[in-house]
Amino acid sequence: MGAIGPFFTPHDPTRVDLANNLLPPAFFPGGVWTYPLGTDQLGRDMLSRLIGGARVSLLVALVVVLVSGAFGTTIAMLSGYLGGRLDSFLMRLTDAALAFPFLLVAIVLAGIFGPSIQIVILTIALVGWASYARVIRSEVLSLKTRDFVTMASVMGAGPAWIIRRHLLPNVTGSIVVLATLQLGRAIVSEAALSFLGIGVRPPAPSWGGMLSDSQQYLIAAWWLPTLPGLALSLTVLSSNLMGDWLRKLNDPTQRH
Amino acid sequence: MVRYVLQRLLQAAIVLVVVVTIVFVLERLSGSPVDLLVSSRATAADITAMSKYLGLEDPIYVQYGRYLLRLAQGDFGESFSYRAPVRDLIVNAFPYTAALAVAAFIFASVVGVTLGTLAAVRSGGRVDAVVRGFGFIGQSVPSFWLAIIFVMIFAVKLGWLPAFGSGGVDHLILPAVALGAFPMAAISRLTRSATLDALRADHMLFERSKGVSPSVFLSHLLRNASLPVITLSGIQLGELLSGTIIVETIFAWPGVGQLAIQALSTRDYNIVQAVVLVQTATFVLLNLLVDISYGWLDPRVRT
Amino acid sequence: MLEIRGLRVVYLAGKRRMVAVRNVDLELSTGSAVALVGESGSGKSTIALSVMRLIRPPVGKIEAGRIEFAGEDLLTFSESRMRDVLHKEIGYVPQDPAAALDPLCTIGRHINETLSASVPSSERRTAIANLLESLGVKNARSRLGSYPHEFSGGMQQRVAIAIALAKHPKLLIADEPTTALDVTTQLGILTLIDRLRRENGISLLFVTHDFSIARLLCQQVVVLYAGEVMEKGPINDVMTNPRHPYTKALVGAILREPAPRSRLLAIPGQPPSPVDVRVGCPFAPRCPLADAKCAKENPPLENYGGVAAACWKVGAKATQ
Repeated sequence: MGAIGPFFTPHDPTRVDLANNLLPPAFFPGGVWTYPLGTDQLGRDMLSRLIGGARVSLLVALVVVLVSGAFGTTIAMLSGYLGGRLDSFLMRLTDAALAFPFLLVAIVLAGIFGPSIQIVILTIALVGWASYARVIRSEVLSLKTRDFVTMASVMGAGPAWIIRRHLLPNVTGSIVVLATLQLGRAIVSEAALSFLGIGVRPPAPSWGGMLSDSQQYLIAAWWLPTLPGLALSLTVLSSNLMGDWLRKLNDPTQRH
Repeated sequence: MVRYVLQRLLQAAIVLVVVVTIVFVLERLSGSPVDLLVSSRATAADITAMSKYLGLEDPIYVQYGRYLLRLAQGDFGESFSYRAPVRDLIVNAFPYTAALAVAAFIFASVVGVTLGTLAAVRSGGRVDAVVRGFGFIGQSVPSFWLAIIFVMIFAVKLGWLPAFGSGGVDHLILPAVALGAFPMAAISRLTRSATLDALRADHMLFERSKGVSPSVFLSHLLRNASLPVITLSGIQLGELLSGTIIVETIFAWPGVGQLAIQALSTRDYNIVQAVVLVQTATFVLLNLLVDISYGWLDPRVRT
Repeated sequence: MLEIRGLRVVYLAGKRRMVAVRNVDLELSTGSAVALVGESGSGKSTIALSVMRLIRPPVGKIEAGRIEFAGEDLLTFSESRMRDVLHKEIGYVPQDPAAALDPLCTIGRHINETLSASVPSSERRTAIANLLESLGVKNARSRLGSYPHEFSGGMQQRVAIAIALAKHPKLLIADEPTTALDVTTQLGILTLIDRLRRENGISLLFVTHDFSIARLLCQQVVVLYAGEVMEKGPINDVMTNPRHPYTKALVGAILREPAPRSRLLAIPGQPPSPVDVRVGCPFAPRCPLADAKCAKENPPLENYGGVAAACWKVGAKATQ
């Protein structure tokens, strides 16, 4: 849905049409097919705004996943493969990151630098890398003792070669699983920040922002809070289901 | 056990110091507070005088030391929008946040553990399927949407419960349930799998071979299944705490979260900073307590 | 004392069923000791667990047969009556005490759970400590508050034996009680079990893969292969003159090879899969004597001079 966004939104998601504000979805009394999912308080097309919101959510989530996945995996490789004092230092760092209250950090950053998408991405990624570091490191530790890695090392392969040719291919499964699960969490985090007004700035559409605006119209227009929340929940649900499915696929002990 | 506790204390202290330092650095990065305090017609001499007065001419480590000292005394500075010490504002608001978080946590753990145990005992049956589906959906619905929908249905449409503000227990129900739904789902899922794991464990088979009564059997089972659940509860309690910020805003619940968000719009940074520090400290403290209780429950960790 | 007739046990994994034990008969007279000998997967542990009715859904199911204990069929007992039998009359020594003892429970509490309710509470600590001392645990009284992980493997197994003995059982079931222990403590545990059986007149069902250990403790042996009884009889007779080619291979291998681990390499091939219906003798695919009849018809157990064997070729010579 988000992917086709650039090619297809029925209306400009920021175009105001006050004459047609608070229209219900078309299949309810009073709705019109010009606005299939109705309009908001300013008469903006709900469908177009939902698609626009999906685009922002997915964009933020994908960048977050890429950044934190790459960073977390790097840390895991260094920590797990090289071991020693570096390992214990990096793992303390990981513990600290996991204990970090991300929403609070976002608030401080937004307070200082003003709200922006970059800050949203930065804060979510700031916490997100830690779970990759944890999980992948423990896999690297067990891979390290396996024969093919020992053999490669005995035959004179350097750490960079071993990490690239032997370790990385063997942890991709876990990386994909973690990434899928993180995707859902990142989308919720983005929505939460936009909801609090420290993420995507209006009038640009975002699911969190739409939910925040809808609070004034709970009596008059049920679709304002319902639709973006539904879109949000379904996206997260599918990402969670996908992650769970991939995890089972990836874990031989759970296969049957 | 003493060593274990000391070790945890040290770890907690490190996290706390890191957060305090980050906040301090960010504050300095955000520009000189002098600009906020002096009028636009101030001369360069005025600004220097003000800087000197605030101690900004001192080396950064002296400033950092002074900052730590101030925090240690519980001094978070003044709020210019409330014209009151930030400490007083926090002291007033914190009990509300604590009440909300505790209520949500009780809801989440009681319902989550009950559902999870039920699903495990009836594994593969209809109850199990319902609980599992419930758990999955619960982990996908964000608390702030749930909060809005609750307000729309139970407060606006049905008028059963108040939509916002604080007061009796009835004011606490909607925010607590909205906030507790996600951890409830997570706890129910983990309780289920932990109980199933424990049921499959060798020592439960051995316990059965002893012919002990069902209640003794159950106590062995629940004790073992509780270990991973307690670890998760600690994490969930922390997430609950930051979750209060958003739920408090929706329900106009007068806790520290709402205080912080309002302060953000009036650029009252001393409040924001204080809330961040207090929340982090609580979070770290809670995790410490969970770790210690874990050590108390699991003899293997103690040594 | 114990009499098993036509026992059939399956394991369940999702929709799949694996038959672990089929049509097993076994008898154990009061005060004597029977060894169940076989490779891993032969169903010997499954039989031991079945006697205590510990094979239950969703893991598995006892599908058919009778298990008569002191004249009554245990499989007809209610849950609570079965619990009572386990609590008072059948002791169990597990394979791996480190995994079998609840890690969160002190050893004092562990033993207390099976100590007879008739012992008054003022005397329980002393009774438990004395029991442990008699099993070779030093300073037992001061260690009642310790947790299983604070003990060595051999001491853990002594605790497990104490749990069984606290019941004053009539039947003791030991499932490879020494495989998880290091070599130096193995003999100590084995002689302890043997001494307890003789002194207290307990009957012993002893599961092992090792004929030489079986001979130390037991008078009778039941040789199992792929869930079926291949041969059974007095252990000395079976070992000096094995009737079944499988027993021959097991016993012969022990006598020939110094390293016990390589023992089964003497028999080429793998045991058959635990499918529902099986045709012919289960050992036929690996048997040097097998012919067309062996592949088609499963031989019944028949008596050959005091030893029962399930084989069409008893008396025939290996043509290798």
